[in-house]
Amino acid sequence: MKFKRLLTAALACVLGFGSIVGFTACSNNNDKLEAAADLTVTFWHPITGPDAEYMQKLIKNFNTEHEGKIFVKDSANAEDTHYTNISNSFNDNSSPDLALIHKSRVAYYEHNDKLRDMTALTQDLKLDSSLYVGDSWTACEFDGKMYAVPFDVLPTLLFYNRKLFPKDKAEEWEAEIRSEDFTIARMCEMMQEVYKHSSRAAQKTYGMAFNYSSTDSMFISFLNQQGENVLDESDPKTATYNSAAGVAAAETVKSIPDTKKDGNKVCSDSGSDHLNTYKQGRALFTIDGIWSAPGACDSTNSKVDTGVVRLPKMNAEATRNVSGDGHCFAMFNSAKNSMDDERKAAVAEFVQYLIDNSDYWCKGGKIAARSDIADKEEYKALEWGHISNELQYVISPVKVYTYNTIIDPIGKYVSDYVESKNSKTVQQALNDAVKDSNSKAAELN
Amino acid sequence: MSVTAKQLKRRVKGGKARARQIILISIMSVLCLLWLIPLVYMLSAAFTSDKVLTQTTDFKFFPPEWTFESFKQVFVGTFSESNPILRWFLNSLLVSSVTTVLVVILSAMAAYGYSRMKFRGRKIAFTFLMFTMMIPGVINMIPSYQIISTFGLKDTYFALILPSLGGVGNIFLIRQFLRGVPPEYDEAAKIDGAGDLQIFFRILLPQLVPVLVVVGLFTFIGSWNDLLWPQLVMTDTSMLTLTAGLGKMGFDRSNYPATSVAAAVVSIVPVFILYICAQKFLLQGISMSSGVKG
Amino acid sequence: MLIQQTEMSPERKKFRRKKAIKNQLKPLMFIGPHLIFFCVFLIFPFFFGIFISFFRWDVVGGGVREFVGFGNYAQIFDWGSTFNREFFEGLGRTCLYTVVMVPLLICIPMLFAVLLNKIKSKAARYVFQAILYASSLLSVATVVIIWSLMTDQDNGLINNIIGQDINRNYQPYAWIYIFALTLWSGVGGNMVIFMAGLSNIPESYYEAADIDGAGEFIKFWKITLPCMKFQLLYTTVCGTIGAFNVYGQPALFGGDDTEVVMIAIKNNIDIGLSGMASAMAVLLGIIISLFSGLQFKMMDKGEGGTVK
Repeated sequence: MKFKRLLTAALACVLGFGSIVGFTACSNNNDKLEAAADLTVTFWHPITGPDAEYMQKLIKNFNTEHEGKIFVKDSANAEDTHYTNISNSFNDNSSPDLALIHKSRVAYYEHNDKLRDMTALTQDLKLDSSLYVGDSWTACEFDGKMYAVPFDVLPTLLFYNRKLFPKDKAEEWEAEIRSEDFTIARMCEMMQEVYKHSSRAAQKTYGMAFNYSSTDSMFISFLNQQGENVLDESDPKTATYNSAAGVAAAETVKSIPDTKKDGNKVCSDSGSDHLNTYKQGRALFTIDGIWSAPGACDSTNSKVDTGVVRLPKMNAEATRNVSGDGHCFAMFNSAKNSMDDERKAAVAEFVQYLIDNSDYWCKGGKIAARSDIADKEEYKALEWGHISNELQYVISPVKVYTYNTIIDPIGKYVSDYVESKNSKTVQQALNDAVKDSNSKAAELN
Repeated sequence: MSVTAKQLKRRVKGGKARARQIILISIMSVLCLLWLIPLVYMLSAAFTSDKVLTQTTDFKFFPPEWTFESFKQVFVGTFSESNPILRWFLNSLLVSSVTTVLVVILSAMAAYGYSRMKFRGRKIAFTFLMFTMMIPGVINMIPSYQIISTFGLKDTYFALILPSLGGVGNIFLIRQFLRGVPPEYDEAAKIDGAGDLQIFFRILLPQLVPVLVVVGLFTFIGSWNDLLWPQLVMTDTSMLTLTAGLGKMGFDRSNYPATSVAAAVVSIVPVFILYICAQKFLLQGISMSSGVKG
Repeated sequence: MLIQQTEMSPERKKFRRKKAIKNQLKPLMFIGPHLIFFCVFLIFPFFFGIFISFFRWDVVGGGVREFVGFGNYAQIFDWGSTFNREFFEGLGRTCLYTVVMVPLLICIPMLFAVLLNKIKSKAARYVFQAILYASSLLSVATVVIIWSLMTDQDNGLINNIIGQDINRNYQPYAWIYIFALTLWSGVGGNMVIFMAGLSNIPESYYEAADIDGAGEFIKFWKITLPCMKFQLLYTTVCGTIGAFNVYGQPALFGGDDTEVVMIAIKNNIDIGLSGMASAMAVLLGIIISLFSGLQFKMMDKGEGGTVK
């Protein structure tokens, strides 16, 4: 009896303590700033994970600098939730004042008339196409009007660990990997050379920690390298990636994990996290989006010395392109708050702040869309900074409202083919994927 | 049979029974040890740092270095800002508690109405209700969302509480139990001039405590563990419940493995404490409510 | 009636009528509150959900609404089409999960309950029960977090112990792990229900059986099981319904070819095809109703013939 009473008392204490801590933690400095400000700007973004730190710092700094005037209230969600929330907000007019969305989504929202015209804002911020290399600017432009403002670029990249280079070939390999002629085949040879076998996976040294969840990015990149894309703008509901170029692209993707040395695969399996395998110094290469760069290039990690380059070209005739999405700012017609001049000016001020501080933002693993940011010292010092000078090789998503629906099935089919999960030939797999893409696209209005 | 022989037989029987007990206890001990392994592993990982788990292969079963770092990160730092565990916990606590109390009251009242009170169409209404138990919740997900959205209840606690109040399974359970409760008490009270509400609250409710405990516990756990629904109706991360929040942590899991586990540990501690306190009640309640034949 | 029926005065009639109305209203007061929520959140959405399934409609995104009649259903039954494969492959996986987990989650808890019940020491029983039930307190997200870590290919505990490099994404391992973690976190709940039921069976039955010389198995089959009819019915029906609705474990743990039908439904909601998602939900609902109805009928039939 006494024991039970003691326990009940303990529980009450825990709950009481927890509530106090919880509520005090919740009402903090942020609430004070929000209360003091004249205007609160709602901002939704999909930045979670290691780069969240950078976005949060930028927002905090902005709020502190604009204390009493503007307060940015942000809502961070994982990508799918973020877009579900946005979709849901159209229905009941509860959209935020500003949102960070991917370039690939702009065409879909514009097609459904959800986006607010931001031409005036870009003129106020003195932005124009001359400041942007590659197709970042045009990706947000429709009929001469700007429906989004480019922020950053997110290419899929190859990471390599210099610490695993053969001692005598270090310089030679460094030069090869960074040259425009670096091919997949040559990369596979390097993988074979570095591979060290062992009976237990934890003791192996892999040629590559293969990223099975980015097979779609690789596939699209290889398509882009041949000058093609997953569909044509003129015919939004027909996917074209089961062409000969598509077959070649898929086969190239498969050739990487199929690389063997003495009968053993030199790439890791899908059962472990590829990035962790790389960070543990157990793989020469890995492929991932640029957002993983800070983690891979961590200078406090003694096991890696990481370099970052674009994906190698699939053969000698190809151009060394990579596919790259990007973030941009968007405003919605269904915004909950009324967009008066004061609010629009506040939003513009915040957008300006973020763009001006792109060099800090890019430390979190991004490429600035604006080319003049690339000249800033801090930016140049980043391992991935040099890609800003190579943006002509980063191919944006096709600017059409069906894009995300069309590319949705690719990952699964290409992965299945790459992992030889079924007996389909590459052409069959791609045909089935195209069939799915077209079915889903047909359902869109 | 002589006395000594009888005693001998009993002693042998006793010995056999004791041997059986020893075997049983050994089997169950081994089973429980195995059962505990994932929990111990979880604690172990929570006391490791993210760096060790992502950048090294040193973690086998016990951390190479015991550290509170992951726990600290659960409460302060970037991880905690995207994943406000404490806030989620409070949300879950509030929502689950309120839901449980309301469901218990509403279901008990409804069960009383369907079993003890006589009114036209009672049987039809109740059978209809029972049939709807077959309707799987999946059909209702999108329309319920529409309703919540239309009434502007997104991102509020109501969105999580209100839809659960319409469940019928609990009414069934309580009504079954009520069958075993003799009606003499409330009839006696009626003769004494007590009103229906008084009968319900003063006389019946105390007798229903065992089944209500079961209903309460299952409702609480169901509400606490709901994964999909909170993710659907909440756009604000800080309004998620603990389960939904931990479930959405996907991307962060590979970047912060130890912190994710530490977050899970933090989320379990209060539930465990609650369970230990309530265990006696729980067993009694389940035993009394399911022992009654339907 | 002891009171003689006399001609009623108009006042008396009024009083009677008022009382009759009051009598009709009183039950409403009790069943009313629940009924309101029931209609708003259960009945209305049910019909609305069926309604949505006849449209090509993005309900949550507020898009255009286009009537397609049975079009969505036609696509689902159009063998070889995208949605057909999504639904039926998903359904197949859901069925696999149900067929494996429901019996496991009845038999194993029953076994544990019976074994625990035989232990005489109260303390030992208390400890064992607490441990076995503890794992059921965890939410599915937590369980998956733990097991994902344990099943990591290179550094996970399981691979370290057995000295293999099992890839948790490959079949059949993915399913085996999912079954294992569901079992680990699900046994406790049913076990406690069964234990409660067992404790209500009078010792005298078993003693009588002992005198007749019955063995363990016969005692279990002829005494224990029949007395547990209600518990068995409840756990089977609830378990089946829950299994058909499985979402958390495959979605969070992953693995190749583990996309159950609920995942297909949610995916379609996410990409704006709520009409199609509703159609799938309706079909799933029909299947669940059929199954639980059948189970109910089958198990309830034997209600009359119990030992009592």
